[in-house]
Amino acid sequence: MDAVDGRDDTSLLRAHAAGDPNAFGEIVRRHRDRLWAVALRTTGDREEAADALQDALLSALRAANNFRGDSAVTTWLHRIVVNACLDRIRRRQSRPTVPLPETDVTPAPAADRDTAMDVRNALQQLPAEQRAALVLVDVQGYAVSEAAVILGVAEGTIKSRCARGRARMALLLGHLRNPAADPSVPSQISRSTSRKEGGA
Amino acid sequence: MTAFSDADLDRLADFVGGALDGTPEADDVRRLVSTDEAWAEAYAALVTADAAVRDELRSLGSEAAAVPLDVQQRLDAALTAAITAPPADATVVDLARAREARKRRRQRWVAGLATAAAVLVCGGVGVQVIRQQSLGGSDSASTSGLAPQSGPEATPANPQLNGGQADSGGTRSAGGVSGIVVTGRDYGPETVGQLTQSLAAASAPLDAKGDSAKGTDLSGDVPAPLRRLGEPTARAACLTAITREYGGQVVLVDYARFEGQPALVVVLDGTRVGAGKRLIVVVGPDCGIGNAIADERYRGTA
Repeated sequence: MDAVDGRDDTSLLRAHAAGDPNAFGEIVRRHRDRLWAVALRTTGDREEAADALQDALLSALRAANNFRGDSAVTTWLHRIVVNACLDRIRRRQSRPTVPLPETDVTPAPAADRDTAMDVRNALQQLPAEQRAALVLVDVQGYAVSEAAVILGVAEGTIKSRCARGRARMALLLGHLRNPAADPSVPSQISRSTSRKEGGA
Repeated sequence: MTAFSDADLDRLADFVGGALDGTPEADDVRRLVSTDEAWAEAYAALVTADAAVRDELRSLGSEAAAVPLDVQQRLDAALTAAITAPPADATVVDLARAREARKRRRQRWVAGLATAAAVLVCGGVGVQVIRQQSLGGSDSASTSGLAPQSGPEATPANPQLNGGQADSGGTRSAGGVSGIVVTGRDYGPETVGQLTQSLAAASAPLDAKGDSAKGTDLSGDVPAPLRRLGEPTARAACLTAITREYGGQVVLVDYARFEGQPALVVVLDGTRVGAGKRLIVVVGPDCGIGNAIADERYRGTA
């Protein structure tokens, strides 16, 4: 059985900065699953997520001395991880000849697998900034204010990115498509082909 | 109105999502929704769809997403390597002590060489020597690591950093280099991995020992084709380009050969591509030109 460290995250981070060799590992152990989930859902690719998480944790480990305590340690870690993911996504987009790898392999209950896969695929089709906001707020359950801190933008921007992202996902998932496809019947909203980044 | 433009959809989505709250634009959209049938329909549809997507995303979040074991092991390895490595700003050097250590090693080296030469001459064997040099605190002085190529200490699997001496092999530069050796050995894809096997043992004593390799000019000590990379600035540019590309931390640099050609063999820990293993990158003399690796000859893990 693993020993339980009773220190809070901030104390552990300070202990790490002071030379405690086990403190940072304890912080990682506490938060790695959530950080992994964010990385996996933001990048949509297992290897990219692993690379981004490793980059981020090594950056955090080396930057621990700079942590000022303005936010919770977990928020600080999430920010580093999300930024690492967005960096990787941008780099991937700048190399168009490299095919996009397979999407995440997180298992879902059998009955929901198709829906979950559709949702994941739709999420991956969003612009990275909209996706990151939706992953934090709707998937991971962070408050808008916290997501704003993590992503370093205004709360209104988070709301806008989430709302626009959901609207596009609704189109992609068919929630806004007129199934009758009868030109005489007014569509609810027709599907758009181009995408723009949300930002308020 | 049966079709919404992207801008309309974004505007309506912002309204539904509360991003326009308290702005004059919210009043505009509210007016459109209350007076225009298409906007009213679209609004009703979007509110329903927005809720549906929220539910689906929430369900996605309820799926277990624990870190897979292989990723966990990889992260553990990278973090352990980073934590046990000396900090980049490690200040270690007691110059007087380092000078004394160098002097002692030089004396041992001379004695060892004399003994070895006597043995070899007595045996009627030609002597071929590989120069092996560890620089952490030994500048360009030769060390006790000097050994015949065919001898057991000189195999690629056992480069004997600094002859195994804990007090001088450790070097550290701004680029995070723990050790630099000049073996001149000729590695190949099958043998270069052996370089890391002895590194685990050799790297431990390197921690926080010796002075910085950053400023050590080796241009006079390395084969002519690698002379440029013997310079601290060029070497740093090369190593920075490598770590920028692959991440991680340089733990060993060997001025050697690869498949017969002069090459720098660089061993890294905690890279993005090493999957928890050490990454070996072999580069040629042009490494670092233009702040890029530029001259990579081989890459593999061990």
